[in-house]
Amino acid sequence: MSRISRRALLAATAVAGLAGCREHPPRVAVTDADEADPPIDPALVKYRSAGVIETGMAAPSAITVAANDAILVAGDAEVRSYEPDGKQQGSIAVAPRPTCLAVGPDGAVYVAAADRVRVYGSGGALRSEWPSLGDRAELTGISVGRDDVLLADAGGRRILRCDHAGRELATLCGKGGGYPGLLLPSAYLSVRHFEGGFCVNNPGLHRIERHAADGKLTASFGAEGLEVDRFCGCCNPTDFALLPGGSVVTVEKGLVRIKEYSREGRLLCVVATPSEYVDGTAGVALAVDGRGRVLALDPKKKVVCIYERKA
Amino acid sequence: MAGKMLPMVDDAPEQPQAGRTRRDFLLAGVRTGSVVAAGGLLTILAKAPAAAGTVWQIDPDKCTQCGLCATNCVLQPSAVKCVHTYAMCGYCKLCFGLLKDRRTGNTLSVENSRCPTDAIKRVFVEDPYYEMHIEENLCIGCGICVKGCTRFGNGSMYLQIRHDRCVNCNECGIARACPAGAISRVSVKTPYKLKARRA
Repeated sequence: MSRISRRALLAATAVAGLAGCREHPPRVAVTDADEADPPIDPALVKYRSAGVIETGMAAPSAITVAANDAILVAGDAEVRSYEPDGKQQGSIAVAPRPTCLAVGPDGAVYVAAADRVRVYGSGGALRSEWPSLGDRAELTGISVGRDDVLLADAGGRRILRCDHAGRELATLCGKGGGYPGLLLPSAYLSVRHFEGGFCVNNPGLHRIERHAADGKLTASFGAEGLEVDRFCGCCNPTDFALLPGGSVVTVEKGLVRIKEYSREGRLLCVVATPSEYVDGTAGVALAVDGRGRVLALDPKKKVVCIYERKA
Repeated sequence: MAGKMLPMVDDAPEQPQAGRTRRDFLLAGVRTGSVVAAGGLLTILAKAPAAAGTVWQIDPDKCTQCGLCATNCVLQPSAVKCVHTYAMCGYCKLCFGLLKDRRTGNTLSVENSRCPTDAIKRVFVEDPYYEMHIEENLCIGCGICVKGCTRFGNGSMYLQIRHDRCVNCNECGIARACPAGAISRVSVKTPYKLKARRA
């Protein structure tokens, strides 16, 4: 075989081999610019850290604030209470793996785990255990008002209104009448009483919604995008809290940004930037206290980060 | 015309050296013996069968989606493929395994797509839900989709070594290259490390 024909054979083999490697030639799909997090103007950050509470729990999952500004953190199989400065006051034993909690006007602690709610006295005694809401129920939010209790059921994609004894009064936020329903690619749904009605996050639609007491949508804000005034990813915000003046504090996953919006939905400022959270943090739970401080429970670091407005 | 093979320089017959002592001769013998022994050991190791009853697999909880699985497997395309646990998926239209973080709209155009080989197909299920199908013959195991799904989504997409393709090398190229130590041998009875829906 001549030198030329051998080279030709080798070249042909190489070409055939390469062609057989991949049905599609790969292209450069994602560049650094595609993945770079959008910068946040430092002037927008109007909160500063006012302390950190080490929970010492293996899996802290929920946070709320009592009337006296005591901070309550649920996780593992207990609820721990802390003074506003972070000093631990005490703890009560609850059913394992609590997912959300709230404090009633009488000081009772409502703790939800999976498909049911248990109510504990402030001393820790179990007052009542509500019936199961069904196999599909996955309670991720609870708000206790003077007249009723609102439950956010991420499994059933609904908000339930119950009385204080656990009797179901209404199912709200279902799809229909032009309302698309609650879109929950992942189980992050919160509810808060607000001015006679209530607010929910609708993460699949990237918005915060305000509903009348009967469940009718009255207002909403939010849009998808990486820009700081939008909500990133496929499903955000994952939680929110309402400041005393009515403005809304939100938190996202993927790109952990805590931000404050006006009640009309205009971005007011940034509370915390992604640099303060480690990669893979998801499910940060929010609460606010009477002084307007923002409390963020970081389940990855297992701490409560306290933010206060800069002077 | 084929050229005549010339002897390599190293193949040239050794010339007798003047002044070679008995000690030199013995040292040369020891050196040669060491080389032969080392060569024999390597041969034995190379011919040893793969650890009995085990195969290589990726731990999805340790994987950092570095991209080395696509390039360090002896097979091309790699035996590593993206798999999808549908029970964990959010069925989003706006899937970040499929679409880039930064896009021009949400259309499935080339500039918006994450996958370098167009191996992910978005299939309508019912409004507003969509299902992502992985075309395995196109997947090169780069993990770019996994990165997006893990960061923003539920982490339902992840990488696994497919045993209908893997040749179970004694020393796995991607295991050696993996910066996270995510690849190890597992029992052939449980050859995959599949994610499950959260309890």
